[in-house]
Amino acid sequence: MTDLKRILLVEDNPNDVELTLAAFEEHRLANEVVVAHDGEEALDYLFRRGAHAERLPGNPAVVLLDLKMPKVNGLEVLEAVREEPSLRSLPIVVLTSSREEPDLERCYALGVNAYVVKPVDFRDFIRAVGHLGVFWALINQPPPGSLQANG
Amino acid sequence: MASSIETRNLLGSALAVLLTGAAFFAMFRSMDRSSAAVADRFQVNLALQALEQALSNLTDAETGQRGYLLTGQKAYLVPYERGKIEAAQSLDTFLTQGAALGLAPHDLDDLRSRSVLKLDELRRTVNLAQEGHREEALAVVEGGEGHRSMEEIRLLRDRMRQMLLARRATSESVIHDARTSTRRALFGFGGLALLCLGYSLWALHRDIRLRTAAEKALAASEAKFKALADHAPVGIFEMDLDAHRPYINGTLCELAGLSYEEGMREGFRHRIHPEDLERVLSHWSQVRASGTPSLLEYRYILPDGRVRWVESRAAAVPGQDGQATSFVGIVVDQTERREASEALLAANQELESFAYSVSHDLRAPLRHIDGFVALLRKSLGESADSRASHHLEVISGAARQMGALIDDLLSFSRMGRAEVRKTDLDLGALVRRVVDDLGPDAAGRDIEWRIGELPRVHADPALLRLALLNLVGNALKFTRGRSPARIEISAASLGAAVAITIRDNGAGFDMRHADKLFGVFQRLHRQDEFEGTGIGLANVARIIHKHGGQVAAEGAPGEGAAFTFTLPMEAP
Repeated sequence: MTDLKRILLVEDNPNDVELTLAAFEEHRLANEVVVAHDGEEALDYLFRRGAHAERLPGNPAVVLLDLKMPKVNGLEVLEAVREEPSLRSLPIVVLTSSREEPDLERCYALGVNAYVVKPVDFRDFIRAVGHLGVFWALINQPPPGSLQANG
Repeated sequence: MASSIETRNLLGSALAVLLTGAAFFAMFRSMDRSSAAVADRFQVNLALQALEQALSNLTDAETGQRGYLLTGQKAYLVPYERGKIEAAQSLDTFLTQGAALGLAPHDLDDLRSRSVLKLDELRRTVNLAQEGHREEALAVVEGGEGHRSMEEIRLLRDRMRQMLLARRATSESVIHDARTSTRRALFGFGGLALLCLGYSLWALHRDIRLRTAAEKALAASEAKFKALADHAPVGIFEMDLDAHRPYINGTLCELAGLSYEEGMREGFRHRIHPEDLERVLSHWSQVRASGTPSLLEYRYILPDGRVRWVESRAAAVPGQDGQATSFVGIVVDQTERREASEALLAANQELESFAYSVSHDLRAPLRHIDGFVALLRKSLGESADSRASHHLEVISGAARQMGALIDDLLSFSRMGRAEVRKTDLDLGALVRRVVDDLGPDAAGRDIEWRIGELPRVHADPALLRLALLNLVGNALKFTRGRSPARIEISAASLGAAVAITIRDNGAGFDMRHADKLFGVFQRLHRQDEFEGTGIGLANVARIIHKHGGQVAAEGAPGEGAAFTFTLPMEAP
């Protein structure tokens, strides 16, 4: 039996959330997707605190992380996660509109696993998300400690 | 020039002095000889006189004797007695002088003895007559003995007189010669001496005139430069090796917030910002030691507390031996320049963050448009007729186009602010990489690549690559209708620059609109003919201009196009 791994999507824009989920559907990826609507929520989820204090332990197989978010932005999330020993090896893919060099530099310096720019063209977007999903959620072996779906 | 005048002056004067000396020497020698001759002549005259006197005295004595003998009158004895005594005296005198003059001793002895004999004869005869033997005495006289002896004496006298006269003539000719030579010396040497002196004086006069003129010219030049320096809009100073300032101008004092008196009296050190002071002082002592020109930026603190950035440039003034004796320099107010560059930096920063937010915030809605149109199409599914489909396609297309525009605008703006970092690179290798990168666009097509010998150039690799991507990409795009598509990339040397041409056999363009080609968002083809935003060539133009080169294009509708850009060759 193939274990379906959990994906954490950190995205503040509901439209983008909808499009991403539609893209997943297009590729018939049935993994569970948890959505955090800003950096704070994401950290709450990952560190199992606040609203998510009661969730079962275990990390998602991959985090799709937007950069520009209110309250706590993507870079801050990245920094916080990489500083936490139990989360350091968590695969993080930055999924953002920004192609700016400073952002790329900063993200890689903080140890991001991949950096994907959200294309305007929806067909390209579907393709990109699909590739991501297939790779990280199906092909890639996550580090130990990843939660099984509906464990 | 001046020193040759000095030399001439010196030589002329020296010559004049020498000639004068020679004249004096010659004159003194003449005078010497002359005075000896004069003395000699005087002596000769005395001797002649004495000789005549002696003869005259003898004659007188004889005459007295005769008279007495003939007449027996005692009155005749007076001249005889007198003559006898005086003859003896003058004879003595003459004999002494004659001996001194070097007359022949045997002649002198002869004269003396004859004279003595004569006097003796006279005495005898007179005595005889006095004793009453007058007849006897007369007999002696008439015997002719007396006459003869006197004649002998006279002859002797004549001979000696000739000799003395001859001697006197010699002296006189010596005197005459001396006078002549004195005159010659005086006029000759003296005249020359005067000429030389005259020349020296003329040379001196000219020297003085030239020097005065030079001094005036110098004073005028100094006045001119002082006026220039005093009113220059930058600070100007002259500083000697001990950091004293013999010259400062008004502007310098203004820049440092000092009065002229303060500046001259106390210098400027106390106005230099404490944080810069050490650096400035050490820099200056280095410059003083090495004599090399200096460039230094530092701050003055003005009396009201304001800080003013200045840049000082100084150069050494070499002295006679090539060593620096002082420094001259200017001090330029950097306030404007700094403010401008700070403003520029600030503006760039603003632009940077503006571009950043634009790129992010504008793209998101576009993505949503395209995405939800796709979802809409899916949900409409089969029920969407071709018109609705078409409308949806247009909406998507427009969103995508806008996205492309934003991307291009952003990169164009970034290009404008980018620094060109030139390095030596192999153009051929870069072109081949670009052709490779464009592989996907060329896939499945019949393309003839003609890439010639491409030289090494001096350019920013990233920027040049972008330009080439654009140009070669365009060539590929606009030859889409051609089979085979021919794309030729060649280089030609223009001496100080190299010209690279990308030629294709594609759609070409109308030369009448050529001036719009490199404009921002300018296109010469419709979107449905060839896609694009019209920014590619504008980017190329910007990049090439940043390298100091030119861009040009030529083409004809349906007959392809050739785009050429030049890159200056860097001097090694």
